[in-house]
Amino acid sequence: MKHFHLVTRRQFLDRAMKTGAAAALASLTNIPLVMKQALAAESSLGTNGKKLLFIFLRGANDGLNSVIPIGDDGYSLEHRPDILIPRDPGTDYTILGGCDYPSVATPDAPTFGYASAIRLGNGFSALHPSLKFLAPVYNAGDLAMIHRVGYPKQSRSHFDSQVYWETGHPNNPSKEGIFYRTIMESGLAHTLPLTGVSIQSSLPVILRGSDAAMTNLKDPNRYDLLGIPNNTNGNSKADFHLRNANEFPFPSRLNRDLLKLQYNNLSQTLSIFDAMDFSETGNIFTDDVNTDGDTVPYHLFPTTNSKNGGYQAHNNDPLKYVVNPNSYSFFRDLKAAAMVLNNTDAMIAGTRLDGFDTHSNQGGVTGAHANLQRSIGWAIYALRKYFTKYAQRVNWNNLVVVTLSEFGRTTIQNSDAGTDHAEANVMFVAGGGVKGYNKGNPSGVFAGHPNDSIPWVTGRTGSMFGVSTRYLKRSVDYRSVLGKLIRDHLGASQEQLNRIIPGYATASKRLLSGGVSGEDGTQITGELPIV
Amino acid sequence: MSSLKQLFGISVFAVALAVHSGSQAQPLPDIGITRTNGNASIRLPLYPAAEQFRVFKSQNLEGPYEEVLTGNITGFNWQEIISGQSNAFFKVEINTLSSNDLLSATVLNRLAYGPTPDELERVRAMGAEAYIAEQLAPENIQETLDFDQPVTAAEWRYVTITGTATSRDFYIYLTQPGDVYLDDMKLVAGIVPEVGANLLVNGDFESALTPPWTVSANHAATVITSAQVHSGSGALHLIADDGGTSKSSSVWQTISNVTVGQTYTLSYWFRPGTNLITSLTIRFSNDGLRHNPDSIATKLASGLADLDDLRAWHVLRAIKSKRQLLEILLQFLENHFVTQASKSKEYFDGIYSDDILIEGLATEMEYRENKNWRAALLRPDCSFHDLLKISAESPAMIIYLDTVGSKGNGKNVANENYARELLELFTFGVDNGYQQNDITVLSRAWTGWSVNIVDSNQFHNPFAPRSVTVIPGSPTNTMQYLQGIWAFNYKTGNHNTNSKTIFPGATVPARFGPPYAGRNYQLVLPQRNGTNGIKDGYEVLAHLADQPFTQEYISVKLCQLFVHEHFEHGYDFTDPNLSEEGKLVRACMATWESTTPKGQIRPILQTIFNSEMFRGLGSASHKVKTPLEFTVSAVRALWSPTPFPTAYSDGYSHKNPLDLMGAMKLFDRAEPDGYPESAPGWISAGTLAERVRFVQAMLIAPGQSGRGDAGQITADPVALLKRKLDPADYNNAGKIADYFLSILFPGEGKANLKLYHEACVSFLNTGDNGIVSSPISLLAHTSIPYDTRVRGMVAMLMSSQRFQEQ
Repeated sequence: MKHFHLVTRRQFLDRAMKTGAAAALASLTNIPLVMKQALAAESSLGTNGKKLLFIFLRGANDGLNSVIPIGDDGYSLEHRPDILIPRDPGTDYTILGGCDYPSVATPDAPTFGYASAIRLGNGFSALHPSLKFLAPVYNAGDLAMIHRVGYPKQSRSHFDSQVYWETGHPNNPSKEGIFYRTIMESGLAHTLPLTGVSIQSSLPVILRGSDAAMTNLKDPNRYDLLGIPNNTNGNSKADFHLRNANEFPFPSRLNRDLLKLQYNNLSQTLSIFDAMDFSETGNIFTDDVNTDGDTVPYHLFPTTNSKNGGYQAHNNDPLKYVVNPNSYSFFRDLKAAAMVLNNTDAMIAGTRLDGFDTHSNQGGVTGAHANLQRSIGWAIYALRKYFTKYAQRVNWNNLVVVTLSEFGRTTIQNSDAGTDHAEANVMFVAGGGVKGYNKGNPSGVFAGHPNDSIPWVTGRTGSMFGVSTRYLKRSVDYRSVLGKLIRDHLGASQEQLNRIIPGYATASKRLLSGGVSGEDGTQITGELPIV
Repeated sequence: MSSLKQLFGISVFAVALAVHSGSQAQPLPDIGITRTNGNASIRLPLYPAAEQFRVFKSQNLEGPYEEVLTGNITGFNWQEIISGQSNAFFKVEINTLSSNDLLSATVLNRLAYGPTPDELERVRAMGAEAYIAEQLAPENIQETLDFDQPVTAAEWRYVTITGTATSRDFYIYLTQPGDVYLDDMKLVAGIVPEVGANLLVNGDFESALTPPWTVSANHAATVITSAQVHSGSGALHLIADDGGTSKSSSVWQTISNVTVGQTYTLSYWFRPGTNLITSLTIRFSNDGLRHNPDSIATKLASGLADLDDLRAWHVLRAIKSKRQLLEILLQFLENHFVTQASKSKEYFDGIYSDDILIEGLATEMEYRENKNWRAALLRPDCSFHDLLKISAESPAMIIYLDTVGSKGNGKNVANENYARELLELFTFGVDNGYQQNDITVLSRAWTGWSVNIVDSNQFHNPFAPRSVTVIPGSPTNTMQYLQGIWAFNYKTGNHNTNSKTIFPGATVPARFGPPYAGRNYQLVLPQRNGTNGIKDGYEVLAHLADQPFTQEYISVKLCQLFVHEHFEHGYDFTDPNLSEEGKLVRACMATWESTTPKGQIRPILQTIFNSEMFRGLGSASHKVKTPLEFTVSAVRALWSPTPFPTAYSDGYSHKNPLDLMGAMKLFDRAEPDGYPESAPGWISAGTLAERVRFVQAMLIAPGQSGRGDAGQITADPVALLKRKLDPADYNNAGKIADYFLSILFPGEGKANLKLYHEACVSFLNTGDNGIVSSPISLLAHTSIPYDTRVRGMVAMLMSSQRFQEQ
C-alpha cells in the first residue's frame, strides 16, 4: 500500500517557498534551512534533531527476571526453583526512594557480586543484579521500564511475533517496518544519504519497505571501496573516476535520478565514514568516572578483553568483567550504531542482541540470561555516557534508546530449568528526555505496580497468571509505547502517526487513551507519560 | 522532425533539430546554443540510444544545410571556431542505434540475465526477433550444462576443461572426507584435449605415487589401485579423511613444463567411490584452471542437497543456460509464489533432530517446486492455472502459509494466511475484487490441505496413508524413522464440510469494460464430505485463475518484469485516455482471454514482446537489476565460454553478496510478497557500496588480496579482449575502451557513452597512483601492469550507474 506522502527534494523546495519562518528548528546540519522550514509546517519529524536507537532483544527476554515483581508472592521458588532471583534478606523492598546501586565491596570482588534482587525503590519492583548499571541511569530519571507490554491475540511464534513488533501491525501480514514508515513520513528517505541504519547481518523488517532502501551495515568498515585491482595505492584513482563518472549527464530513463542521487549519497557517505574510525583502534570511548573502585575508567563499548572493564585487574575471572566476552560483537555493532547517529544525519539506528530464547538452563543470578542482562545494563549505561561525553550531532537529551522483544516467557519454569514462550514483557526506554524517577514521575517503572490504574494483581491468580494460568497478562500495548516516542520524541504529527501505526487513532483499539481493547477485551492503559 | 530555437546575442542563431531514430518518436530534446569570443557552442541534446551527433549549418533558415566537419565534440558539447560575424542557422542530427541493435540489447537484458559477449554477437546477427522466438520455445533449445549432469551410478565419466596456467602447482583434493577414483589424467598445451604431450608426470597412475606427486597428510590413505581402473592396470584411489583446500591439504605436483599465462587443457576420467557425491576439486594454484566434477546435480537428484547447493545450481543455470527466458520465468515464479525454506525447517524441527536431514527436506521441497514449474513451462500450452496449481499443491507452500495445521471442523476457526495471500498476492492483487469476509470463507475451503510422509511411489496421491516403512535399523517406528517422501496430503478430518459462498453476488466492476464488466463471479461450493472436500480447493483455483482481476494483476507483474516498474493494477480500461501502460495490460488480458485453455503464458509474453513499449525506448534501460540479476549479469558480461571461460563462478559465491546487497536470500524470503521488482527497494548508498565492492573484488586478479567479497567468482578481461580484438589494437586505449563499452552498455549508444569513453582512455593512460601519465601503448600486453590497468578500467565501468541498469 502506498499511503505515504513522499517528499522529493523538489517538493521540499517548493514547499519551502510557500511557508514562513521556522528558523528555530534544531540542528540537522545537512538540511538546508529552507527545507527545515518546509517541514515545520506539518510536523517536526526528521527536523527536530531528535534521534532514536533501537535494540531488538531477539528470542524473547524473560522480563520477569529483568524487572522483577519482587513484592508479588507469585514470584516464588515454587514457580521458579532454579532461576529465581532471591530477595536480599537484609533489604526492605517496600521502602520508597531511588534505586540501590550495589558497588563492589572489595577491589577483588566480582563486579556482579551482589547476588540478590536490587531494590528499585518503588516499593514493589526489583532489578536483576546483572542490571545494576541501570541504577545510575534510573536515579537520574533517564530510564523508563514499561512492564506488561504486549498486543492483542499475542502470537507465541518467534517468526510471527518479531514481525508484528517490527511492523507495528500485529496479526497482519504486512511486512513493512514501523521505523521504515517513520522515516518515509519524515520525507527524508530520498533526500539524505543516511536516514535509517541497522548494524547487523541484514536489514531487519523494522527498517524494511519497498519504496526506499534503508542502509544495513554488516560491518561499517566495508564502506571503503577496494580501488584498483592489485594495487593498494590505487584507491584514489578508482574513487576519483567513480565520483567523476557519477556526474556525467545521460538521457533520462526511469531510475536514473534515483541512481544518481544514491551514488551521490554513496560518495557523501564514503566521505563521512572516511572521517570516522569504526575500527578497533577507533574504539577510544571511556567512562568519565571509575566504577567499582577500579583505578581506571572503563571502556564504554567492550569489544575486546582489554576493553572489557574489570578484565585488566581480574583477567581470568569472567564474572568480574563488566560484560561477558561473548557479547563483544554486540558491542561492536552498538558502537557503530551510536557513532552513525552521533556523526551523520541518520535519525534512527539500531542493532540486535541475540540469545534470549532460554528454553533450558536459563540460569538465575548467573548464567545465560544473567549474561544477557549484563549486556543490556551496560549498553544503556554506556550509551548515556557516550552521548553525553562524546556528543556531536546528537546528545543524550535528544536521544531515546528503546528495546524491543517479541514476547515474554512463562511465569513458571519448565522441566529443563528454562522458560517457554509466553505473552507480556518489559520494555526499556532511556534518554535525557525520558521522564523517569523523580523527573516528572515518582518512579521509572510503569505498569509494574499494584497501585497502577490497572493494578498488578499479586498472588497465584494474579497478573503473572493472567493468561492460561501461566503467562503475564498485558496492560500496555507496545504500539502505545512506540507511538508515544514517534510522536512526542521524534516529532511526528498525530496524523503522521496514524499512518505510521495503522489504526493508531481507531478509538476501539484504545492505544491513545486506554480502556478496554476492542481487539480482545483486555483492559489497557493507552499511552504512558514516559517522555 | 525539426524544431527551431532562437538565441539572443550579438548574432542571432537558429538551431533546427532532427532525429533519425531506429525506434518510435521521443519528445524533441531541448538544446542550447551560445556564442562567445568567436566560438559557437551547441549543448548537444540528451537522447536515448544516441549513436552519433552531426551538426549542419546554413546561412538561411530554409537551407541548404551543410555538415560542419570542423567542430569538436567533448561529451555533450559541440564547438566550432567561427570566422567572421555572419549569422548562421544550425541543425543537429541524432542518429540512434538501429532498431535491431536496441532490441537486441533489451532482449538480452530482459529475456536473459544480461548479455554475454558471444550472445550479443549471436543475437544481433540472427536478429532480436528470432531470439524472442527461440526463447519462447525452450523445449527446442538443446543444452547440456556441464554442472548439471547428475552422477546416478558408480561408473567412469570423462571430463575436459581448458584454462590458463596461473601457477605451475597443480592440486587434486577432496573438500570433504570421502573417496574417488581417477585415471588417465592428461594436461596438454592448447585447447584440444589429449593432443600434444602430457605434461603431468604419472598422470595415468600406472606407477607408484612418488614425486613429483606429493601426498598431504589428510590424503595419506590415497593409493594406486588396480581394483577400479579405466585403462591400464592402475588408477588413483583418492581418499581424504579431512577436507582439503590448497597445496598443503592436497595431492599435488609442480609441473616443470608449464608456462604461467599460457592456455592448457586438462582431461581425465573419474569414478565415484563409496558415495555418488564426490567433493573433488582439481586446479592450478590461483584457479586459472579449476574443475569440480558435478556434485550439485548429483546432490539434488539424490535429495541430499542443502539450501546453498540449490542456490548455486539456480545461479549457475542463470549464468549458463541457453534457455535464459525459462530461467527468468522460474525466478519470477519462485518469487511470485514465494515460500521460505526456513519455515519448512521450523516445521521439520518439530519432527526430526538431524539438522542435515531437516535442511535436505526443506531444500528438496523448494527444488521440487522449481522442477514442476520447469516441466510445465516446457509445455507450449502451459497456463497460469497450471502454475498456480503447482504452487498450491507444493508442501513448501502448505507449510509456509499455515494451511498445514488449519482446521475448519467443529468449532475450529480456519487459518486465513493462505486464503489471504492467494487473493492478495498470488491471483487478484491487493484490494482487487474481494472483501475481508471472502478471505474468511475462502480459508475454510483450504482446511485439510496438509502434508505427510508417504511411500515414494505415492507422492502424487493426496489421500495416501502415512508411510509404514521404517528405515532399517531404527529403534522405533515413530514418524522420524519412516521412509518416504513428504508430499501434499489431504486430511479429511480437518475439513470444513459446510457449503461456502465466496464473492456473494459480486460482479466484475465497470472499469474492466467488455467482455468482463458485469460478469457475476460468485463461487458457491457445495457441502462436501470425506475425500470430496479436496475439490473445494481445486475448484477455487480453477475459479480464481482466469478471473479478470487475476488477468490484470498477473499481466501487471509480467509487464513490471519485462517492461518497467511503473505498472499498477486498478486501471480504468474504459477510459479513452488510458495510459500506454494500461493499454498493454489490456492487450495481455485480451490474449489471456482468447486462448484455449485461457491464460497460456507464451501468447501473453508474446503480446508484451510485440508491443511498441517493449521494443522501443519504453523499456530499454528503465529497470535496475536486483542483486541476483546484478551478480549474474556481472559474470555473464565477461563470460565467453569457449575455448575456455573468460569468467567463472562456482555458483556458491553469490550467496554472501546477495545477502549484503539487501538480504536477498534465494528460496528463503521471509515475506510472502516476494522481493521487489522496483529500484527503490534495492538501491541505497549502503547497497551500492556492496555492489561496487562486488565487481571490484571480482575483477581483482586471482591470488591478489582484496577479492574476498567475490569468493570463487573470477574474470579475465584481458583474455576476453584478446579473443575479440585485432592483435594490432591490444595497446590501443580507444579500441579497448570501445570494446568494453560495447559489451557492457549495448543499448546506450556511442554518443551517450562519450564521457565514459574519455574516462576509460584517461584511466588506461594513467598510472595506478592516479597521477603520473603512463600510456597503455607502452605496456607489454602480456605484462601484469597491462592486466591490472584493463581490470581496473572494467571494474570502473561495472561500478558505474549504467551497469546497475537493464
